Amino acid sequence: MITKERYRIILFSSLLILLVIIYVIPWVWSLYHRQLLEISQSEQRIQRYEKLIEDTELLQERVLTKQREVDAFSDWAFKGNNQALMGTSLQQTLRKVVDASGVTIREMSVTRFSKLEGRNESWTLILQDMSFALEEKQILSFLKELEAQRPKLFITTFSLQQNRRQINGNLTVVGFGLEAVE
Amino acid sequence: MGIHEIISRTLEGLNLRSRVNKLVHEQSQASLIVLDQQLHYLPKKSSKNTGSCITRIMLADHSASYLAKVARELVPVGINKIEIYLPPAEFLATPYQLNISNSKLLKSALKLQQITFLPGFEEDLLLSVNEESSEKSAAGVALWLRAERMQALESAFEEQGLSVQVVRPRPLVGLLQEQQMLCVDIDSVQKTLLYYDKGHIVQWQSKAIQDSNNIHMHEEWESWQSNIQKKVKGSLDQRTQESYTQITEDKSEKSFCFLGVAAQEKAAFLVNGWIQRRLIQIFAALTVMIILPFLGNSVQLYLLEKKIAQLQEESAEARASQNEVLFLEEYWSAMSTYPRQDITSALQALNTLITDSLSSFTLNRGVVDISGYSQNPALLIQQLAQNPEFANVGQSRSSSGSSGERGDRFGIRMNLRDIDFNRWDAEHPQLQR
Repeated sequence: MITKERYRIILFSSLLILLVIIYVIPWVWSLYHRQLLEISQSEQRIQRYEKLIEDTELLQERVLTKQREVDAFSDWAFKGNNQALMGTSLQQTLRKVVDASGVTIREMSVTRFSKLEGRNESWTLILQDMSFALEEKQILSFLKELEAQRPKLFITTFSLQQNRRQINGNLTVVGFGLEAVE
Repeated sequence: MGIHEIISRTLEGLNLRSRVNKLVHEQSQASLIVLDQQLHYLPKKSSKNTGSCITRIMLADHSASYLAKVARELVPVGINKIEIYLPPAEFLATPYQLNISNSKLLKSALKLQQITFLPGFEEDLLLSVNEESSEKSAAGVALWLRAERMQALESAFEEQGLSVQVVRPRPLVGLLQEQQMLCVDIDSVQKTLLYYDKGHIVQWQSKAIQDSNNIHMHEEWESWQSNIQKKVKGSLDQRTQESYTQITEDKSEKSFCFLGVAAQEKAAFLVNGWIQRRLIQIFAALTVMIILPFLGNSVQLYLLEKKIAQLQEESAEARASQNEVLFLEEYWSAMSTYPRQDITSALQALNTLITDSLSSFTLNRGVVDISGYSQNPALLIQQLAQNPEFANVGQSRSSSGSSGERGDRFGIRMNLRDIDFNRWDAEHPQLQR
C-alpha cells in the first residue's frame, strides 16, 4: 500500500514537473521577455521624444520650408469642383502651348480622368492625348513652353516620327486636379 | 478524500514514518521503570528539572490502571509524555535468521512467521526490531509485546492525563545505540540474560526464578552464561532492582521501542503540520522568486510610461510641427513626386550622338524607343549607355542591311535614368484609369 502510494506520488510529481517544464516555464519565460521587449520599446520611444524635443526649432523651420514649397506647388494644380471644367482648363493650357510654339494640332482626344484613392482622394489625374505636327526647329520651344506652363503639365508619353520634311508627334500630358476645399 | 487524509497518505508515500517515530521518542519528557515493588522515575536528559524530589513509589501490582495512578503521583506536573520500561517478563523474544536489511520488510517477514516463532500464541502482538542500527545483521532477536497490554497502558495513563510515548524492555534503560553490553536483569519473576551489541539484541535468554532450584536448569543456565561471557570477553553487568534505582537519568536511544498509538497520531499531526509549513514556505519562496522580476519590470515600465507621458507633453510643439510637415508632404506627394521626364535633355543628349539620322523617338512612362540609321549601331549603344541621361540601354530590334551612306538601321530601347512610374503608381493607387 505504502509502495503504491509512493509510486502514485512520484508519478503525479513527475507529471506535474513535466507540465511545468513544458508549459509553465516557457509561458513565464515568454511573459518575462514580452515585458523586456516593452521596456526596450518604451526606452526607444523616450529616445525619440527626447530627439524630437531637441529638434523642435529645426522642425519649425522645416514647416516653414514645406509651406513655401506647398505655396509653389499650389500653382501647379488645376483647382475646382468639376472634373469637366478642369479638363477644359487643361485643354486650354495645352492649346496655349501649341499656339505659342507654332505647332499644328492634328487631333486632340477626349480628356480622361483618374481619381486617386486613399489618403490622396482629393486628387484627380487629368489625362490628355494629342497628335501634332511640327518642324524640327520647333521641338525645343514646344517642350520649353510645356515645361513652363502653370498649372503644370506632366508629360507621360511623347513620340516623334520623321516623315519627310515634317515631324509627326503624339503626346499624353497629365495635370493634377485638386478639389477645392469649401 | 480530505486534505488531512491526502497528507497522511503522502507521509506514508514519502516514507516519513521514521520521522514520526523519531519525533515520538524526542517528545518523551521522562521515563518510568517498572520494578518489582517500585515505580522508578527518571527525568530525560533534555527535559528541565521540575524540582520534584520523589523518584520512586511503592507498587502493589503491575496492572495498567494501578501503574497509571502511581505514575500520576510520581510524575511532576507539566510532564505528561512518558516512556515506560517494563520488566522483561512482559516481552517475548524470538531469535531470527533472516538476510533482510530493510527493517520494514524484516518486520513484515517476522509477522508472517509469527505462528512459527510463537506457536499457540493467538493474542495480537506488537513487534519491535532495531530500526536504527548502522550495522546490518542477518541474525538477531525480535521482541514482541501483547497489544492488549499496550492498549491498557495507553488508556489507563491517558485517564491520568499522561501519554505513553514508548514502551521498552527494562534492561535497555540507559543503553546507547552504539554500545555493547552483556547484562543480567533479575527480578522476582525471572532472570534475563541479554547481550546487546551496537543496536542489536544478539542474545535474550530468560529463566523463571522458580526454576532456580532445578539443578539441571541451573547448570544449563550457568554453562550458557559462561559460554557467552567467553565469547563476548566482557564483564557481566548485574541489573538488580537496587541497581535500577541508582540510575538518575535516561540517556538511552531509540532501539526496540513500542510506540503509543495516540503519541504516533499526535507526532504524525505535527509532522503533517511541519510538511505543510515547509511546502507553504517553498511555494511562497518560489512565488516570490517568480514574481520579483515581473514586479521589477512592472515598476520599470510604470516609471518609463510616466516619463513618456511627461515627454509627450514637452514635445507637443515638436510633434505638431512634425505632423504638419508629414501632412504637407503626404498631401502634396501625389504631385510633388510625380515623375518628371526631362525630354529636352534627353533629345539634346541624343542629338550629340546621332546627327540627322534619327527616324523616330518614343517616350512612354520613362521608356525611350529610338530608331534610325548609324554607321556603327553597337558603338552608338555603347555611347548611350555611358550617357548619364539613360539607363538599361539595349537593342530593341535587329540591325538591318546597309542603306548606303546612312549606315545600318537600328532600334534601341532604354530608360530615362531615375524615372519610375511603377513606384509612383504603387504609392498612389487610382480608382480608375
